[in-house]
Amino acid sequence: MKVLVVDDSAVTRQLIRRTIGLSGLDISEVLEAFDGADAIRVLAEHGADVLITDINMPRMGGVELVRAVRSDKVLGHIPVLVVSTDGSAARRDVMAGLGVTGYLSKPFRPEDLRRHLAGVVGSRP
Amino acid sequence: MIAQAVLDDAVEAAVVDILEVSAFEIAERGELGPAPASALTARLAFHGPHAGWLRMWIDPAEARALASALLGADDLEPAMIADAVAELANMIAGHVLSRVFVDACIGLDRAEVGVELTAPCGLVIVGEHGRIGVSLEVDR
Repeated sequence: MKVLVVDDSAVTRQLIRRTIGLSGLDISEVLEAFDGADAIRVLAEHGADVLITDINMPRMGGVELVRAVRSDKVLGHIPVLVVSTDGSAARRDVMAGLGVTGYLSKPFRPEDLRRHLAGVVGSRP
Repeated sequence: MIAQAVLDDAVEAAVVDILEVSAFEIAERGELGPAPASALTARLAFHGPHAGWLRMWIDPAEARALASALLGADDLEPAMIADAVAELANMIAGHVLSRVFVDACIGLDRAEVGVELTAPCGLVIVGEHGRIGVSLEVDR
């Protein structure tokens, strides 16, 4: 299984990558993108089975990225886990309306991400 | 307009929580004071139904400890430490705004690191490796 991690923070991408590596989940490849626009490019070139994305990013943020993914015929149904500093009820409602599979607020404990990811991986069509 | 004391309490709770979760550190509010000359600095703007700024400085040893905890490594490039400082500013702002303005979608700009702070920060938190000064101000 291939996971794409989208975050403008290299530290956060590395933290998520490290957590996935230690998770014991059946994930063979972790791809990275800096923002939504970069993610669209990576998805077009490599595809992904699961998307993990931040919200606030340069050029294209997480809201626009999820909208783009959900409207894509091929990628429209891949599970999406949001990992963001924005834990407001309003933002969670917006993202739920876009059909995200899970939502995790930063800072997070590695076990929290593993548990969310296990649920997301389990919901993969 | 929300009282600055309410914001300061929320910032204190945010920094304490972030350091505990991210770096297993115990932290508490300390005495106000100027940023040391060696401090790393950051500034982040937010916008939407509520807009304003977060300004922050952090002792280099505290920044290195946080970056090391996040990355699981001790040999860190300065760029990764700077990125950890930016992410700390991002987490503090997001943590505070999510809890103070629960029903608002507020956008956060990417934090600028290495900025000049022209005024002292209104809150100082003491971590296990150094101090962090933070001000979060809401213009509207």
